[in-house]
Amino acid sequence: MIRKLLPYTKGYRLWILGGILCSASESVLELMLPKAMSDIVDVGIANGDRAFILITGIKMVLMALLALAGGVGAALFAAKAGMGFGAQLRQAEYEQVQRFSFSNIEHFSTASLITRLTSDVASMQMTLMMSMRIFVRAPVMLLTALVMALTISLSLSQVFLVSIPLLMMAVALVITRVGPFFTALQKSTDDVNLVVQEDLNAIRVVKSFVREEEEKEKFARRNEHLRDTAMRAFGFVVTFMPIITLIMGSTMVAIMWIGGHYVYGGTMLSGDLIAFFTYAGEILVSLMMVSMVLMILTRSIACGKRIVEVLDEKPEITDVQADSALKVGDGSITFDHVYFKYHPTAEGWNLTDVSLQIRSGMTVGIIGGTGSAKTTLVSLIPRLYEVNDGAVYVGGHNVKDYTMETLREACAMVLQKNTLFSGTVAENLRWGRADATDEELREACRIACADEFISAMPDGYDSRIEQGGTNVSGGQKQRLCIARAILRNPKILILDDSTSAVDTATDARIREGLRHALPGATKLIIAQRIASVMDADLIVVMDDGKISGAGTHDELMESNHIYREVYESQQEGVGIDG
Amino acid sequence: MAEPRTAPRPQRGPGGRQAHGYQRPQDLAGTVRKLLRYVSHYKLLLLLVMLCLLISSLGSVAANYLVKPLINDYILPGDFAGLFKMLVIMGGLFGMSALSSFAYARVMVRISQRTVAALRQDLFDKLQTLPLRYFDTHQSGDLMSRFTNDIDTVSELINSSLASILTNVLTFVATFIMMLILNWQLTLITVFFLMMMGVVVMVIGGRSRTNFQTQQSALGAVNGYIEEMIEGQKVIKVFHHEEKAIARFSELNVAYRDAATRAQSYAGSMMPAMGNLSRINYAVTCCVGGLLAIGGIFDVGSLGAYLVYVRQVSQPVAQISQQVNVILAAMAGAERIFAVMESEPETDEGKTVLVCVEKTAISSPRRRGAPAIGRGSTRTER
Ligand SMILES: Nc1ncnc2c1ncn2[C@@H]1O[C@H](COP(=O)(O)OP(=O)(O)OP(=O)(O)O)[C@@H](O)[C@H]1O
Ligand SMILES: [Mg+2]
Repeated sequence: MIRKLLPYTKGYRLWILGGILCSASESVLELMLPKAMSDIVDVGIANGDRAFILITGIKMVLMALLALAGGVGAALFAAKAGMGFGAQLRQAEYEQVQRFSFSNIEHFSTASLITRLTSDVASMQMTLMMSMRIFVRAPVMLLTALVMALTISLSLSQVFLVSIPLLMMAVALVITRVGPFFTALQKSTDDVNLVVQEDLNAIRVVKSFVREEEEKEKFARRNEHLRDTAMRAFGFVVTFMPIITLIMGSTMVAIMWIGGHYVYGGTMLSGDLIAFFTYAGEILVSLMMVSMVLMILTRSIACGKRIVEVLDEKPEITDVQADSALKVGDGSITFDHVYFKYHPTAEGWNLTDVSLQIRSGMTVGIIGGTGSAKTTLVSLIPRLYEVNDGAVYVGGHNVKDYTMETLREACAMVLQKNTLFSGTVAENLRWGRADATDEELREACRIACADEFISAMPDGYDSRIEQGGTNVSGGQKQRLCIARAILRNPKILILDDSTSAVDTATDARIREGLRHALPGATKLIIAQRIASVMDADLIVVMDDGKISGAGTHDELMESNHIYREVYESQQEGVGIDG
Repeated sequence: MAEPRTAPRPQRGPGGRQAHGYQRPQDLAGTVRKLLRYVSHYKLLLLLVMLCLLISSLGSVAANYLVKPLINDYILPGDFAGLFKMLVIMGGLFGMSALSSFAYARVMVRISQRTVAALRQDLFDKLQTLPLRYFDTHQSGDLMSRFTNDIDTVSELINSSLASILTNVLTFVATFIMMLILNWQLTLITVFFLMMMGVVVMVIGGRSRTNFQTQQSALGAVNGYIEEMIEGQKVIKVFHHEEKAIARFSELNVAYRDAATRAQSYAGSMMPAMGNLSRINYAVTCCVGGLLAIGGIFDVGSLGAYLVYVRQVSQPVAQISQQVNVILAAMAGAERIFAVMESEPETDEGKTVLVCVEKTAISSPRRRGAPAIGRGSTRTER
């Protein structure tokens, strides 16, 4: 993993080196101080040598000043390197996601991709910064203090033979045991959050069915579980510090007892004892620091792995086979014995042996029950997914022969689950075509029946759309998305259930507008209402991943019972509504 | 170091979400009062915590004081029976300190988790009483973050920051008094350096805070952009908008990098600056202490004990200066939680039966946050 992430430190390696050097020199300098202090006691005071004390004192101040410079320098270098590394990593990961096809995106899920791009990267950059400081500091301090202690008194250092293993055992115990506690904690936290999320998502249902009390109880159960899990987890963690205090305390007592004898016996000076005392403290503290770094590191290894997973994911759809000179000639579409499934491991096909001929300029209606693979079918035209078997041809060429840019330029699709972006109405529309004139914007909106409500908005085409288009209604959003696609001036226009939230009258007007707009373009319209597709040149009836029938309205009424049943049930609906 | 524990919620346009991070609560006193109402169920336990805190901090300060009599009265004269007795006392002090810190930590975990659970439940119950209009005007991701980020910061505050602040204050005061007892002249030196540290905290800390705010809003912009683009990734693919999406991202990413580098430079310099000021203090103290000892005003044992304190005295100062930000962030979080709790509940207008029940079923949503490491990092989505 580290090998995979290393390239992103490029350009910052000198900063990292500088930071490590600064940090190391700070730690070494810092630990020279107690030794100098013991000289003051044992040489200066013992001999009454004022000059010596003064000179040693000045030396100490200089060392501390140098350490100050080292420490601040290390912080500056660490900030520069950590943030630079983080930015490069974030950039690489983001660019990688832009190369992803739909199936790559679904492999990770949107929410998980966002986490991997935000908090995981943040954790990595923080880890680099911290390890530049602490990872250097702790071992250097440990070593230096150990060397210092050993030079002061080899025999007294034997206490460490007991206390260091003890401390390591305590640390090891905590690190190994703490994992399961926190996994459990994470799980109950997720459970609680899930209830909240479901409740918020379905708040209308909750309220209209007066389900508040049940929701409260459901939440209470999980909440109590979370509380108890948290008490266990944190209850365990807090045993760590007191144990450390005990080990450190006993070490100190032992040093005083044994060292006391040495001092009395004349084999050790009292200043040395004090210095040794200090070094002992440093050794134990730096051991703890090492263990803390280890804990942080285990956490960030998980984050790093998740980032590497994204970086390593192979974009499923690429331009390798494409001929960049090839342009889309016309809007004809051919499905030739197409088989497709979303998950390679799945048993059945999502599309089974689909063959279909659509001539350029036709208006095609696609109808079928929910889950019958209407969306799946049309997604293959702009090559959002790759077919498993058979082939899809657009303008007489296999879709794989076009670059994605050419193909998607010629093929505008209004997704069923569509979205707008934060920005003005005009900015959103210009996703269709960046250089569209104001007049073209208005024209597209007229066709999509969006101009009326846009002009009613406070700033017209300059009104702001919130992220995800939350400040326009569902029907308004759909109409804006249609306009955005029309602006593309495509050879093929695909509307996937794009008027589901629009009233029937407006729906009819949009269809009327589309009939005259984009002459020559092939139009595919997926709809729930037969009325929306009745007068199409060709109607395709989908059923469970297969084409159940294709033809004009009259032909299908004759030959296709699914179509007839749907038609009749919808006629009844009209009858009841009046 | 001010590590953002989870990706702070992104900043949204006017009236959108606020960027979490370094922020100050608007009504600190009011928020504290409301929070205290929750904690005050545990008055007796809290009293116990105080007691334990006192014992543990004073215990370790006192144990260090023993260095002086140990050297002066027992080791140098060679009174090993006395030394043994003193060491038993010293060990006892360490033991007591460990035991009581264990006790207060356990109790604190209990108090904090119970408080937070109560807070969570009340917040959830409150949401059930709010009118639909409230949910139309508040993004669910925003409400969700009350349950994750905000509750988390409050929990952390009660769980560790509160006790650590108290310990630090106690340790500081006790250490300082001990220093005065050992030698007031030397303490003057320490006072001078403490003042220097105060200046550092004010200057670097102040800069650090403003820079941190810039960093947080730059981070909010980057994360907000990432979130928006990834959520709309399929539309980006369909419109072949990838290059434009990368161009804008690069700008935001670089802006964040630069802001963060500046902010982290300040934030990161704080600890080394404080630590090394304390070391300069140590050096000067050694030197002056040595001279005093030659003059016979001071003795070696006292110097030893005093030096232990010199090394310790600045730690609480540094830690408290760090904790202040945690506390303010937690208070801002608590304020947002209470803001929801104080919104107008639904006056019963007769249940409106909705004609159009949205497609979202009450069953589990389609996409789920990836199980993230660490607490409270579960992503929210709309
Ligand atoms: N991204 C996906 N990953 C895996 N399976 C999918 C995915 N999208 C759809 N499916 C499955 O493929 C089948 C066809 O789905 P599709 O979305 O094409 O139906 P549809 O006819 O468009 O339905 P609707 O009218 O509800 O839009 C369904 O069984 C569905 O569960
Ligand atoms: Mg569909």
